Formats: sequence, structure tokens, C-alpha cells
Amino acid sequence: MTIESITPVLPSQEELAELAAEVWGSFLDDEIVVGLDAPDDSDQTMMVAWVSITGEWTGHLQVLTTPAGAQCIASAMFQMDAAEISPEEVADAFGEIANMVGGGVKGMVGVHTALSLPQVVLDSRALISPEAHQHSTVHAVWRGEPLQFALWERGPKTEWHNNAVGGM
Amino acid sequence: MYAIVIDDSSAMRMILRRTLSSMGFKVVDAVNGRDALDKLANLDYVPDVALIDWNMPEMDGLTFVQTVRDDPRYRRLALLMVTTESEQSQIVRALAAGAHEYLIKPFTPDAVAEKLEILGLMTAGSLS
Repeated sequence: MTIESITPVLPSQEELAELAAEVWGSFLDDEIVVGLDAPDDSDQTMMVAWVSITGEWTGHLQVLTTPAGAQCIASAMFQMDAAEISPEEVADAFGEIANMVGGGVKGMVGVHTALSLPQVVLDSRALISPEAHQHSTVHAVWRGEPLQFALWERGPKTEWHNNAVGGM
Repeated sequence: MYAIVIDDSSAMRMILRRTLSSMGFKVVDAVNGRDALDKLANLDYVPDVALIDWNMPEMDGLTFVQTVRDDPRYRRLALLMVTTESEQSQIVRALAAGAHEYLIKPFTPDAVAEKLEILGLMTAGSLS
């Protein structure tokens, strides 16, 4: 008897964008504008929220935006004026966004995995893992603030990715 | 009608509280399964429904479900998992543990209403 292993299927850029758009539509009652290119944000401080997916496939789903973008997200989710939102509430709301997009990725991968609790830091240079590489990235804009959704895969690049859909 | 929302995210608790309040529910919330057990023990009523996240620190949603399923005091408490865990195997696991219904995040208010209707806790079209 042979045991067939199940191959992980990672979401394409288009599927990653759809996951993000679904979160925005459901909880922020709004649409994100997906862009073709990475914005020139080298001078901007970016907040990063991520969840790790571990198990038969290991990777990370990372969401980046400016502190103002994260504050907008929290303001929309809490339905409160941005000035009334605490830094803890900003981190909570932004982390929950990463949690929902990451949960969607986990559901698509198709192998047994576990989802971590979200983590948030005010430093986009915080490298998730030196052993990870980016599988797919979606750049978007919401209320004038840049957004980035990046799927990282731990380990060397492999051939099992669903890269059939491109163009973003 | 009474509900308890169990989620470690304050943003998610706020969203669910808002959604349930618009349907006429009185809502208490808890930050994890352990906190929910403490809150339930101190209430002078048993809520009609618990909306339960899966991944939480201290006590996760699945452990909470297993715990209250074994407690006769909460026999009439409907258990609705509300989680990002979307795989079929996880849904089966939660239902086998005692959850009555399962809702995947992100969700809309209509999806919450639909699940509450299935649980017999509200009638169609009562979302204000």
C-alpha cells in the first residue's frame, strides 16, 4: 500500500487579493483598490501584522500599512472616531485583519496546519524568518493609505505553488 | 434574548456586540474560554447563545465547547463557533465536540442572522 501525500496549494496573487477584499467588504464595508506595483514607501514607517501557519506547510501571512492606515482600520471596525482609538485597539483591529486573511489562506492550503494568534509591531523591517521567502504579494490602497498583503513560505522555493494567475 | 460573545479580539467583540444588539440581544462578552466560564458562573441567567472564537489564549473555543457540553447547567446554551478556521476537518471537529453551528470569519450581519435563525433564536427578517 502506498500513502499519497497531499500537496499544499498556495493562493495566487488574485486569490490573496480576493481574501483581502472579502475582509474589507465584510468588516470595513468598503473596497480596497488593488495596484499593480509596490508604492514607493521606503521613507514611510509601516506597521506590520502577521499570523503564522504551521504544520504540513509552514508560512506567514503579513499585512503592512502606515500607522494612519491601521488607525483607519481600527476606526472603521470599532465605528469610533480615530482620535478616540487607543494604540491597543489599533493593534487589536489590525491584528484581526491579518488573522482573517491568514485564516483564509490556511483554509486554501489544503494540508493539516495550525494558525497562530496575530502579532503586530510598528516596524515593517521586522523580518518574520530569515528562512522564509515571499510567495505572493498584493499591493493595495485604502483611503489613501498603502496596504500590502504578503504570503511568506518557510524553506526553499518549491514547485507546488498555484502561480497560474498573475498580472497584479 | 441573551448572548455571550467570546473572542480575544476587542474589535471582533465590538462587531459581534453591535450585530447582536441590532437584533435585540443583550450581550455580555469574554476574552477567552476561561473568562467565559467565569462570566457564565456569575450570571443569574443562562444566555441563549454563545458565539465562540476558536483560537484564543488561556482557553480556546474548542475546549470551552467541550467543557460546557459536559455541564448540565448549560444544556440549553446554543453554541455557535465564529472563527477563521475554515477547513472541513475543523468544522467536523467543532461539531463533534458539541458546537451546534459554525460561522466562518469574515462574516456579514446577514450570515449571523441566518445562523441564529437555524438555532431557532430569531425569525427571518428580524435584522434591523
